Amino acid sequence: MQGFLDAVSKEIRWKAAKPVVLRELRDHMEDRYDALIADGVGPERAVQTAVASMGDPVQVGKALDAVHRPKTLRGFLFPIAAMAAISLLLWLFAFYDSDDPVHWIWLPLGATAIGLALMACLSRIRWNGLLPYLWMIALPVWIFLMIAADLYYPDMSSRWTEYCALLAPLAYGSVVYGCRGKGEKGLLCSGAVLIVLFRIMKVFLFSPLGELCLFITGAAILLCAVSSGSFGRKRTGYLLTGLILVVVFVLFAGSTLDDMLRLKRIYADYETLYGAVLRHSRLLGAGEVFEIEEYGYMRIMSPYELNDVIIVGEGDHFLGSVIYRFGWIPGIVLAAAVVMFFVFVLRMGLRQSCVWSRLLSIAVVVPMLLQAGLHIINNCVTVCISSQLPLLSYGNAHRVMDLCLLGLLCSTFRTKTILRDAPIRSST
Amino acid sequence: MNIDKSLLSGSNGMLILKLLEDGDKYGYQMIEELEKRSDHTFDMKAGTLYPLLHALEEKGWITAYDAMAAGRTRRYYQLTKEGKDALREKEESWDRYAKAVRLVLKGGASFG
Repeated sequence: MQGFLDAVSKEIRWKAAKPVVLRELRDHMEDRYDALIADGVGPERAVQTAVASMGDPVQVGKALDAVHRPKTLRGFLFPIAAMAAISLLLWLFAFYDSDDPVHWIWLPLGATAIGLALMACLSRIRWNGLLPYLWMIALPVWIFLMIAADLYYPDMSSRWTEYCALLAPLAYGSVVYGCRGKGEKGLLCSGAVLIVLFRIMKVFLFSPLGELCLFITGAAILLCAVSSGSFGRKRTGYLLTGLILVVVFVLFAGSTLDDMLRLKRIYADYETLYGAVLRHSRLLGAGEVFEIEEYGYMRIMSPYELNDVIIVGEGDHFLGSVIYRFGWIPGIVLAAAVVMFFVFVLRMGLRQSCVWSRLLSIAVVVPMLLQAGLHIINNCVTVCISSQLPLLSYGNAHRVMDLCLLGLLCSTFRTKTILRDAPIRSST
Repeated sequence: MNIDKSLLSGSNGMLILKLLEDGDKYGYQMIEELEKRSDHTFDMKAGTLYPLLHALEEKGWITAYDAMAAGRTRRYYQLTKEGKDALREKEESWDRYAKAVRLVLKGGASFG
């Protein structure tokens, strides 16, 4: 049998595919061997027949090699590169004559380069060996990052803790994945962890966005796991998930909404400013120069002084700035392209065979989609919450974090059918 | 009875999808089932089956998961919604094709 497998293995060029494909062929030969032995065939003859039933190993290997090639993922990588390039170009356009080129030019360039390099590294991860221990790695790493960020910046609203908070859905997804195959107990355990994570968020930081992301993404992760049959009977699973979400909502969401309303009051001045910016924007081309009172002083707003507009809110008003400088049409096209890209990636993730790929897609893309949606509302409708446009608006650490998360996702897309879940017990 | 295997080429995918219509199966089970349903006429080699299964999985027509059964990990394949649609289309075109072949063998369609 080993000779057959070795001959097949020689024909498969992609190393990651070999162990997965060969295991399936070995299992098949062992099944055939057991059936022949049960029929009273001698062991030697049974091995020969089992191997002969597989066909020509070279042909088999070539056929499998043709199916299993790493995916190039142009549709995934090209938009990411394009967004990074657009963002950097706009940034250079706004700050090319800045007095502080290190902060405004070299740091964003460096962050993008580091982010892309980390993304390339993380896209090479082979998950198969890690899947059974995933939550044991992801959950402690996330808690460590939260504590480290909080100790480094004791200020509760530090950006570092906020970025770590955005990793919470990933840690949570790993816990839900670890509870697969444990029936209703597994689902209840997942629900309890969601409550604990919320509690940690409340202790460590003040981020309604992080909490909102965790609530919506956590709900999506639980529903996806239930619909994948990870916790046994789906009907009971949906009922329990509903119960868990009601408990989480009652315990935490009230205060989250309160925090959001408080932020809205704080941002009232920005609303006046950006409302005026939008009113003075044109469909196409630069908006009008106008004067507005801000903190008791008269301020002249000009679309040609793009840095003046972008700096306020540190990237929270990126889309508004683009609309003011280039017009509504380019702004809306850009926003629509970003949303469509994230929807496309989420759809791509949800079509993967492997449950972990699906959970990871939700954990990575849903928060980005939420941020993008909130950024658009923030810029075009009403100032409601501090939210950046992933991959485009300012935030060096934010960009590095987003690119790392997309790198993790890329690793599952590259391997697609080669990535296989740790088995759960079945009655089949 | 020996049959010309080239008659089957191109329809193996349809047969696999049809087998999965009744429920999730692993590779060995599919070969056994195919042999049984065809009254021992189709003896598909495992070396033909697995590349085909993996190609169907790439297309999104089937999906797969590992499960423990009888103390052994098995890779079960499951028909997706896209796979069901593809199966329906393949069955329709196979019916048209088989009907046309039968007509030719019987001397052609009669007009009037």
